[in-house]
Amino acid sequence: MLKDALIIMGKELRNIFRDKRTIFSTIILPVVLFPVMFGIIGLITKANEEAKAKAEYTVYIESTLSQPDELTKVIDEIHKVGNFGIVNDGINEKTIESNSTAVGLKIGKNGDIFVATVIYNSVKEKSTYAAQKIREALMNLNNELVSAELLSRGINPQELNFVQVNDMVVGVSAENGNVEEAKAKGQFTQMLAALVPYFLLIYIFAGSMGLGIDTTAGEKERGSLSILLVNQVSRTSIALGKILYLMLMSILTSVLNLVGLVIGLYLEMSFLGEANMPFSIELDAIGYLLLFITVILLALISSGIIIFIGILARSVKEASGYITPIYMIILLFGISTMQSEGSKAFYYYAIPFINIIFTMKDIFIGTFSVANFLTMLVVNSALVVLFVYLTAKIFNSEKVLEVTVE
Amino acid sequence: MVQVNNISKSFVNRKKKKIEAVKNVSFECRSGEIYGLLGPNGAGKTTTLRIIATLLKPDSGAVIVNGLDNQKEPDKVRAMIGFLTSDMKVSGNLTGREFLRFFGQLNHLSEEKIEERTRMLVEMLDMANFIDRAPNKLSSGMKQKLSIAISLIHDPDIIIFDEPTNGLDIFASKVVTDFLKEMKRQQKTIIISTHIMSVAEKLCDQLGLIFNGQLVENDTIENILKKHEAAEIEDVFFAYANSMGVIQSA
Repeated sequence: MLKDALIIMGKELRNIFRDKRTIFSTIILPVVLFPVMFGIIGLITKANEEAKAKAEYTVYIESTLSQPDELTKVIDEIHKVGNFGIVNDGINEKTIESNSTAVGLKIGKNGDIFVATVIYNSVKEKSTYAAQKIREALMNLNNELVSAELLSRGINPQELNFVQVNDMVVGVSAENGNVEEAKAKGQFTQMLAALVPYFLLIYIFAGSMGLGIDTTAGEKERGSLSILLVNQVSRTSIALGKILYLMLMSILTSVLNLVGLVIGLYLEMSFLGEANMPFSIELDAIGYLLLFITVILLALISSGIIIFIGILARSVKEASGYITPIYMIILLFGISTMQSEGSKAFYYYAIPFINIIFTMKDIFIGTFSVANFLTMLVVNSALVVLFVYLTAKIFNSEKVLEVTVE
Repeated sequence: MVQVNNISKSFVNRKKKKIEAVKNVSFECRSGEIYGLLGPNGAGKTTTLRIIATLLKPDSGAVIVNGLDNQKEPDKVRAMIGFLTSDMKVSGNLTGREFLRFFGQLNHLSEEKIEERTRMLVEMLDMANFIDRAPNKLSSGMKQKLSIAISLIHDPDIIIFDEPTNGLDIFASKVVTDFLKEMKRQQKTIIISTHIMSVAEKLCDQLGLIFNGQLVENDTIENILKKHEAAEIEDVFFAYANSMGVIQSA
């Protein structure tokens, strides 16, 4: 049975890899698309940030400060934080609203306290950026004034800290116990635990949909399925062969999509000057093996569902109509599991499909349990066997020939 | 030898209405004979052939293929049958040769046997100039020849072809009919369905006229013509079509 299934799988793979469009959309596009997309986003964001930083801004000031040197101090601080021209003859709100590089500052004093209002157009990026810089300048002025006041009272501001907090990070390793590196690794692991299972779920299912429908309902429509059925190969072998083919293709497309995604994210971060994010996973060989098993199971179940529905449907259109709502439900499941952490109650691991996501998260964040893993393995393996059985049943029934008499 | 004994088959259509596609059909085809099922579209020809080929189960009756009940031992029967149906279409990116190898493997033939059969079928069906091309680059006649070769890769004793010349031009059609004559000469048991009278008259030793699922005639062409005092099968065919209220749209 397995030999025949492998022959069918091999034929399907040869067939698909001869199709230039499929090679482009399945292999080349995922690896190229994300890096290009994220690279362009990174470049645009970087150019935008640079344009904001380089732009010449005008601060319209309306001052009620009585001492001229107080306003000079404020203006000095503003000059320190950016490229600002000063117009000290009142504020025209219309000018600020229409000019993206204009910002207003009303400043006065209430006793010893400077009271400032920053006026800007929150719809415009540059105006918002300029307002943020003005706030930064005013906070710098505040810090200087506080320091000067403390020093005048004989207090060193540096000595005002009565609590010192240090971090010690466990669960991830860092060179020479570098806490910042460990923190960054931990953040990256959290990100992986949230994103990777979700994206795998989406890519594996979405990647299998088109190919799965084509190899079942598509073959029915083209009339090529009946050629298989009149041969000596068992229906179970046909079902298994098609599921195995789809499983391999869905794993391939999802891995390539993930590789593209990671390269894309890395490119974007590089352009934004955040490339120090550690792109490493805290997994040992067993961790990778367990992760591999979960990916295989996820792909097998997705393929099983799609092949079953595809063979049940009478046409490609009908199959798409059945599978799309299931895909939407899976998307919702995926989103709902994205933020949840591992270590769920035991019964969560008895829910097929979703338990794979929880197990993947457990593997990433180190809360893996053998009992939970075995439960997940047994439940999903049983489901795969059930889908192979049901698909073989459909292949054995007359429904597979979609006999409809009008 | 194929014995079709009183088979009936009904379907339920989308409007939940029961349609009797085949009603108590019986006939027999011996080794070295060609049996033709002649009837209009929707008469029950394809359903009958699918029942013989084990793709459908009859509601009643039985089909005996070389002494085996095809419902009780479908796998053994499939090994003896080469089946080609009109809705079978080879497609995809494999070459004709790769298709033949694939189906040879599925029929558990050795690599040597696959090569031998491929060589033989390519020669007999005149496929040498396109056997290494993918089906999407072939004409409908070439595709039909490839489908025939696929269905016969395992050298079956029983050949069941549903509308084998359907959609073919005159040259491709002649290759197919000549091929069937050669198969007959090799003592194969051949059952074909067609709605083309000339094909039936040229090829068939026995003819079954089927209308509305019923086999109204089952004899040699000579006997059928004698019985109806007709010059051509076409006359008999239209006489039945009129009497049974079968109206064919133009």
